[in-house]
Amino acid sequence: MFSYLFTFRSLTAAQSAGSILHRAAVACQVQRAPAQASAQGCGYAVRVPGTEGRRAASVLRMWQRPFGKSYRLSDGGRLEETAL
Amino acid sequence: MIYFDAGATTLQKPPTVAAAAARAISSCASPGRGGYPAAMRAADALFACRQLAGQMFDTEAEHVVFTMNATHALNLAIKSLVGPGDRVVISGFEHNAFRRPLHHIGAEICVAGQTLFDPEDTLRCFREALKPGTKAVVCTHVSNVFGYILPLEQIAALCRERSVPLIVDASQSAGVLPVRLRALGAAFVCMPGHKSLYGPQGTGLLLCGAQTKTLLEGGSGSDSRLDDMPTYLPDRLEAGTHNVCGICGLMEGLRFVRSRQPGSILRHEIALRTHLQTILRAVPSVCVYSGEPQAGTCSFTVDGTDCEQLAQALYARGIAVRAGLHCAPLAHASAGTLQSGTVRVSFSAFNTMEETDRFARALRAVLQKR
Repeated sequence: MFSYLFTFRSLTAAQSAGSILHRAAVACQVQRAPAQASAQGCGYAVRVPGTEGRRAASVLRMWQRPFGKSYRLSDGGRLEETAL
Repeated sequence: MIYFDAGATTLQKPPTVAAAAARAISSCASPGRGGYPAAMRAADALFACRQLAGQMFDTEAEHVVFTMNATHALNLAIKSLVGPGDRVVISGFEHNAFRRPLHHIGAEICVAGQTLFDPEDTLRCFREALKPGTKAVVCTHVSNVFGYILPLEQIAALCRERSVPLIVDASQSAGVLPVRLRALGAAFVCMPGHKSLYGPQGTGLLLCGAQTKTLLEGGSGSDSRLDDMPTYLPDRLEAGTHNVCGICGLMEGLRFVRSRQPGSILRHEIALRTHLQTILRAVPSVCVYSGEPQAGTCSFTVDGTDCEQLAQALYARGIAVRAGLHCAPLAHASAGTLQSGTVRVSFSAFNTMEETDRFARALRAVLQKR
């Protein structure tokens, strides 16, 4: 099973997005962003299950929680930028 | 001991405050410095505190910045807006936490409103002082010496009307009176965590409604390749490791305040202050500084008695009050007590009528011995 990562400029922004997703009943986890997804170093991301990617993106846009980029993360750890 | 110095810091806290701080010291690492559970626990605790503070003080969690105290917050606010030679209007009741940074910067300080317990005069003076070119208004919500509640909403409306940024010192009001960043349209609101929010010493909050400048630069756990601090809040103003234990305690203090009915802590403190003032007025040679609107703080002087010696005699009877200038010489100058200072009694949610009566008996005993 794969998952999606949404990157944020700060830990607090990621937490804020995570809080919105929880309220919308989207399971998610705030975590450090992979180095590859962190252009300036030390970035943060919200991870959601593969089945929830589009809904999560839609909720974040609706609540004006802009994310940097979105990535598809495979079980094997392969990271691929993707548009959601 | 009877503790009547909540205006400096609240000594009695809800037991949950110490418990949370103690828990944090052994379970929380540094937020934003790792993805392992202890770091994420700390991150979650800080975010929960930001969220609750944001809800209580009407702003987004990201606009809540953790500081060491209100002075730290005030310095960030002032140095974000004011430069050398800038004209700044302040009330006549400001604490040194405002006055000294403004002097240090070399701002042109215009004092508006020095009449105690006269909100109309305060407002009129602010209206007159807010001339074109004013860079900022700095205003305390409640005088730390006299408990005078300044007409903050009206001053904020005036600032909005004239497009002048407002910095609010909510040191004596946060947790007691409504404080709302967005509703006020303020540039910044500054508050300590350790007074009426019942958190530990070493905690404070800056609520940001305007662009900020940094006071410290260093690790923020974000955008680490950049040479400068991040441009976004709260990271921009939070260089270095947070006071996680203090913030976890502050969270419980905020919960305690929020668990009370709105206005109930203020009503309790005012009831104690009114009772005390009634007693004090009956004591010959005591001058009580009272009026409306006044919060739960009261200052008094006794003819022919040094305020520090009087406080010392009260300490000897197990009563903690604060004497002197209370780091607010401007407020004393406004009230005409700069030479003498005053004895200040400031209440918290944990004080009782019985303590107030015991204080009155102790004061009478001290004065009879003179």
